[in-house]
Amino acid sequence: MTDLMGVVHLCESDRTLRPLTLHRSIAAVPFAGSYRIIDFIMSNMTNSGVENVAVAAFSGFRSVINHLGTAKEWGFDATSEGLFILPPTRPCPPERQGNITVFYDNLDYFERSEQEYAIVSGDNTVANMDLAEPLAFHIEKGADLTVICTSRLPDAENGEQTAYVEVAADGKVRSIGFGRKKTGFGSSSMGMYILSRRLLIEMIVSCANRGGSDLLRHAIIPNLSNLKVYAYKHPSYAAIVDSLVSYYRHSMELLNPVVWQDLFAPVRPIHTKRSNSPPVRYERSAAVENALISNGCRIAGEVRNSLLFRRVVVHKEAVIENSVIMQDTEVEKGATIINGIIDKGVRIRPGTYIRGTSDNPVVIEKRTVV
Amino acid sequence: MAKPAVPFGGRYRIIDFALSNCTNSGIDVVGVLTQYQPLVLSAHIGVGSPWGLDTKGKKVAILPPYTGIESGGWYRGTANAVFHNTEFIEQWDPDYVLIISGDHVYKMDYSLMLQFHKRMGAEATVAVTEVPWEEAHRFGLMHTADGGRIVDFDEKPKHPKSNLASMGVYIFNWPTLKEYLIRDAQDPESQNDFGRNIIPSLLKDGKPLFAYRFRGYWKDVGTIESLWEANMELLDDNPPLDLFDRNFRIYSVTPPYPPEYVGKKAKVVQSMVGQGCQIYGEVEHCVLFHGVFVGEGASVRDSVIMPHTYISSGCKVRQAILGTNVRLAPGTVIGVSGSQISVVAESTSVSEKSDPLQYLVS
Repeated sequence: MTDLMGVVHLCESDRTLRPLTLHRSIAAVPFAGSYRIIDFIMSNMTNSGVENVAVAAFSGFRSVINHLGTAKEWGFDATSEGLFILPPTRPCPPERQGNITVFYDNLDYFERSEQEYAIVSGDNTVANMDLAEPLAFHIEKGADLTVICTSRLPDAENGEQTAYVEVAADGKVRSIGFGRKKTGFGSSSMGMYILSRRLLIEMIVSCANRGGSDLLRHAIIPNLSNLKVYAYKHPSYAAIVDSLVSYYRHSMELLNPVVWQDLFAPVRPIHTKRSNSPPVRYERSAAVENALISNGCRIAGEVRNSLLFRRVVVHKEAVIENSVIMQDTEVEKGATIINGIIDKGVRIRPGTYIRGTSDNPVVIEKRTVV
Repeated sequence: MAKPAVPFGGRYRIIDFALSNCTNSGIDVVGVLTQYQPLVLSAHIGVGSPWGLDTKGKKVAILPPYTGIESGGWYRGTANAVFHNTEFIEQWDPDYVLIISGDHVYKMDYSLMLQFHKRMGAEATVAVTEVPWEEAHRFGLMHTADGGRIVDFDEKPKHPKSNLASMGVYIFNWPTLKEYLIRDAQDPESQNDFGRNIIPSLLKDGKPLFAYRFRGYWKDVGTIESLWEANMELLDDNPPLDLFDRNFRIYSVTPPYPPEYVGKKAKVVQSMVGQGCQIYGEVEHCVLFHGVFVGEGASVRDSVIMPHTYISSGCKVRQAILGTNVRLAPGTVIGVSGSQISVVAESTSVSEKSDPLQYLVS
């Protein structure tokens, strides 16, 4: 797809996700067993043939850059334009930080790109999609801007950050709003927007000049009435991870075969940094049900309704339920974890008992010994 | 399929062991001699990225037979294959050349063998391992004096006098090897084989030949039985081959498969399972490669299931090797527990009406 360029901007998460984002941005938070959150949007870009992709950040992006590296695993090679990193170039107070500020700092990148259309996306959208489809919709409707939406609404608690979209019968966007009151709109934005590159540049410049910092809030919403804005409904699984509750809930959703088959469709595989671990080893005493298990794991205990990331070791008589256990963590003999999110490299000593609730999972930070 | 390309252990191909051994031994340049059905192997090896051989100063070269004005032709034997690639070797101007077969499953640090070779002042060193006496007649056997010097050699003797088998792993001083390869190529009676010709020639000429004792796990997977056995051995409580050893990793190609999903009514025990699998039934004492589907109510035991095979609901599989992309219709029964192994060839579709014993071999 040579006429579409991609711009992925790192998103803010709310305070609740902080234990996991202490030393990394949301983009780099391990998710779905073998991935980092940003892998989904990056894979959608490359699987769809987008060859010019920029990742823009205003803070905390060392872990993301380490993860993306040379980007070969996502299919960027010597023949594609490549993966560009757009850092902030001027100091900016946190309240003034936003995707517009970083885009404006890097305006030359947008001006030098040659693609006619641009897709701007947050880094924390989890879905598997062929971007050619929303692009075709955008062109067919003659839209100025297309908002990619989903009718899967997040839970009410997340209402504050989610952009709800009111869509007319003909697909036109009537209004976009935030807050729990707007759940009646029926659709929410997936944080992905398609528009012409020229319009994007115009928006960046005029918005930045007026002191705006966020594309959606300061450039799109104020202009809803003087632009032709349409909503494209993504027909299958979509999720945005921006809080601890959404992280936990969306993780558990992956244990649904229908979701698994959708997100991990072989026709568009999700790419990530290469790993070299052996296949999963299930011992005689293993008892695993309704679980997602990544390579390199060794399981001798019970694992139920949980996700084990790479190289997790579960000793005999250990019990893991309704939990997310990130890579290289070791759960020793007889330990119990229920409703937990355990970050990577943690060691849970024998017999330890950890229990959270489904609304309030216990979070153990990385490289702790418990 | 060429033996080195045979899938193993839920993720690997046999050649991964030889290549990973090289990586772990600090060997930077590897030539892979191919002739028989080379496509799968070449595609798998590529430019050698998984083994770190695609960076500066390192190299993996696929070396098929070729024709030249005076040289080339099909490889007539192991030594002949190396002889035809003298030019490749000379490009790197080595002091020593390590010859390894890509047919075996084993973990070995060749640098230790090289240290031994240098210490002994050997012209050639042959890695040997003890085999059970009842198996000895199947191997090239070395007779050694104290200190490891090889004094005699028997190729597959009916009445073995030694149980030290040659592993097909040799270290030569390159100038010496080159000399003997040239000489061997000029001998029309020769079978151009390391074990049958080069080593005996060196021995006859009194060159210092030494045997390096290897004591680890070493498995030839050339038969259905041994392939099945080697896979099953991975499932022991304390497997003789540890794939999880972080100090000696086995590298392989890793396509982007998702984590496996184990369903609500599934049961998976004493097994190794590759990524991208979906398991809704019972899997006991099996090795499953990537992308395998096991339907609800299906029961798979003591088997090796190759990539992307689809085992529908209610199937029963016992003591079998199912090839890549096999499809079993719901309720199909394959194999029987006991002494015989069933093999279903790749891409076969099996209907539930088929005879469970139809695929037995041996």
